[in-house]
Formats: sequence, structure tokens, C-alpha cells
Amino acid sequence: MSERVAAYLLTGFLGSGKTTLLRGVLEEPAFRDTAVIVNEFGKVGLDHDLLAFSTESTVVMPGGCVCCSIREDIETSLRELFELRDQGKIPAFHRIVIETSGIAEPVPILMTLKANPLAQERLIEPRVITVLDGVLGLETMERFPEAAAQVTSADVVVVSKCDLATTDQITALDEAARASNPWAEIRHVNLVESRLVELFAAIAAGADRKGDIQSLLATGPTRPCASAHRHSDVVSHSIVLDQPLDWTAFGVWMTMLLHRHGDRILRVKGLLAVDGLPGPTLFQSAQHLVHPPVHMDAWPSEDRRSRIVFIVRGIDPNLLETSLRAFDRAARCAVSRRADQRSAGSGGVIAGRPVKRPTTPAWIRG
Amino acid sequence: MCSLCAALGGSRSWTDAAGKAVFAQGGRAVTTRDERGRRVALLNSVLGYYGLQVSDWGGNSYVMTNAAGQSANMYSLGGIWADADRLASQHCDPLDEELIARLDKLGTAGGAG
Repeated sequence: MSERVAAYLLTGFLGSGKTTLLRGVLEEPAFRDTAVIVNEFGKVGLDHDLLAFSTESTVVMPGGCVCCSIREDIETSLRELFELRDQGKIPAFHRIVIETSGIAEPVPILMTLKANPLAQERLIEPRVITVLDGVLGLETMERFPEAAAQVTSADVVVVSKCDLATTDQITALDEAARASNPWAEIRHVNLVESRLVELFAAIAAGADRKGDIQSLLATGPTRPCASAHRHSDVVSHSIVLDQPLDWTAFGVWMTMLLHRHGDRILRVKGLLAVDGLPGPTLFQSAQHLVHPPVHMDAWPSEDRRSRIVFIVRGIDPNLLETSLRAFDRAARCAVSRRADQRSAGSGGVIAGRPVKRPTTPAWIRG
Repeated sequence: MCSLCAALGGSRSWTDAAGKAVFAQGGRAVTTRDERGRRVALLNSVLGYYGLQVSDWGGNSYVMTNAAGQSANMYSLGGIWADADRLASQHCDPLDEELIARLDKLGTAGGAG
């Protein structure tokens, strides 16, 4: 089986400095083995051998919203790159950077990479790097939902143009970015002078589960009116549940919630205590995209309560907790009612009404 | 594959516990039949609010019907909600306070009994 290739999704609003960052990285000899998929044809002249351009071509899945759409262009570019690599027509690359257009939301691309068999087999789980303009970033996040979504989806937020921004601007931007995405690592750069290669090289490939678990263990409950972080209409809210969750209830509730409100449930991360499981379950989603939950063998500490952090836009966070608890209780009740039921074939009582065992009709018995 | 409807088996979902060794209830692994039974029971508690009923179709898919007798067949839990919206002629919302109150009432009645 072929070696898996590290994948990075480089995103950021128009003019934030994504391409400058990418160009700076690709100039280094150590990064010549990087394949690049650029989502805006003709925007820049990247002098690079392993370059593919794609124009946005989106297929919306039946019943899905915009963020459930499959990006056909990314699939095609990816397939072409790997075909050329396997045929020896281009040098073997060891990482892929997908540079999105400035107004693209990252989730459809992540959804595409998750659904695509080639990406699943050949790529390491992609990391999202979001470039945020140090001067205009705050205003952009407030005005454009796409910019806010780029930050909430990020694993790493690179604040650019730090040499042009004031200390107050950078502080306010950091606070807004942390409020929208408490898990992202924030790095400050000067695109002209910073050692961009070192920055990029320090971003490990693949998911950082250990970091996720540690940050969730440190999570305490918040009351949205009093202490939840607010930035624009994006709210970060944490809940802590003392009782283990019913996995069936959580699955039904979450699928229903993401179907109805997925475009406004920007991120969810949770360390869940699930009935019957010895260790915690790490759950993560971004809009409608749910990462496969990771069921662990043991808890890392004595505190075995569930902790779930929601980043939502335009949703009353209190209702999330109330609703989850109601589904959990209803699941336990529905199951206990079901245990009282027997199939009609055995006779007995069904839903409180007596049912006779079916007998052979008289006209057959003769 | 179901020879009657040519269905190629249900699609796997992140919600599935059956078949995963880590899930054990009272020392027993979760079976597909048990898991789907629990899921259908909860779905009926929720979708009953919208006048819908769900049943398991051969351990492979779900069938949902409304009071007018219209029905839909779907293969995964995630696929249920779009059809629920269509058959209920409204948006099924887990944050609907009336639905939450109804589920609370069901949960309380179950706890009392």
C-alpha cells in the first residue's frame, strides 16, 4: 500500500495573505515535494512543478444544504495528481496543500475529502490552516459568515500582517478567534520577514487527539448569558453532564440537530461518558460534517463527566442542553416500554391492550 | 442483499454501536437487532409529535409513514430527517420547546413507572 500523504487545507478571506504564505513556503527546497491544488485559476503565478488548478464545481447532495455539497473540482484535481504521480509523470510528492478561494467555506472541501475513497486511502486526515488578516480580520469576521466559518474550522489560525497592525488590533483579533474556535493554535506572522517554512513545518500532519482531549478535560460548564464567549452572533457554550449518555439518544439527537441547524452549529467537540463504555468517546463535528467518533479504552483522569463544547451562531445554547437531556431521558423510557412488549405471535399485552395468540381459523381447521 | 427489494445492505453510520467490540452492555456485545430496536423506539417517541411512525425494515433500512398513509424508505439514521420534514410537512426541530416538553413528559412518566 502507498504511503499516505499529509494534507493541508489553506484557507483565508480575500487578501488575507494565503498565497504569499504558500509562495514563501514553496520557495524552500525542503518543500519542493509539495503538490498544490489552487482553487482560483489564473490568480497567481506559482512557479511550481506540482501544481493543479481547479475551478469551483460543486455537486449538491440530495437533501443537503450548501455545506453538504461535494466539491467535484477537488475530487478531479486530486485524482489527476495521484494518477500522474503513480505513472511517474510528476515527482512523488509527500504533502498536498489545497488553497481555497477567499470566499470558500472549508467544510464542503473537508466533506469531499471525507467522502472520497481516494482521499480516504491516500491522505492523512487534513489539517485546516486559516490565514487571518491582522488589520482587517476582525471586521471581515463580523461582516462575512464565510470568514467566520474559516476561523471556526481551523486547526491553526495564522494572523498575518502583524507588522502593520497595532497591539490592540492583534489582541482583539486573538480574542475573537479564540471565542470562535477555542481549540485552534494561533500564530502571528509577518509574511515578508517571518520564517514561513518553520511555521509550516511545525504544523503536524493528522489530527491532534491528545491536544483535543486535554483541552476538553479542562472545560467547565458555561452559562451563556453570564460567561459564554460572544463574538458577533457566534456563541461558545460548554456543558458538563454528570450522568453517562445513552449512545442511541445521542446519535438520534445529533443527527436531527445537524440536519436542522447544521449550518449554524459551527463546531462541536465533546468528550462523552457513554453508557456501557469503559472510556470516553471523543466526538467532533463541523457544521454537517461529523468525524468518526473515537471510543477510548480508559479515562485519562478520575473526572468521568461528559463535556461538550458548542460553537453556534444564532441559536439559544441553553436549548441545546435541555434538548439533549430530554432525548436522553426519553430514550431510556422508550427502551423500558419496549421491554414490556412482546411480539403478536406470543400473545400477551401490547401497548397496554391484551392480544390473543393467533389461532388457526375455523375454515382451515375444518 | 435483500432478494425482494434488491437493497445492498444498510449503510454504516457514525452512530452505530453494533459490531464494535468496545460497546458491551452487561457483558454482551450490542447486536444490530437490539440497537435498531432501541433507535426505532426513540424515533417513534420523537416523530410521534409530528404524526409520523417509523419501523425497522428487515434490519437494513427504515420505513416511515404519516397519518395519510404516505411512506418513505431510508437506509440511514441521517437520511431519516429529510423525509421526516417532507412527510410531516414541517421542519422537525430538536430545539422545538414543545417537542422537548413532550419528551420530558415521556421521560418523567417512564421514570415514575
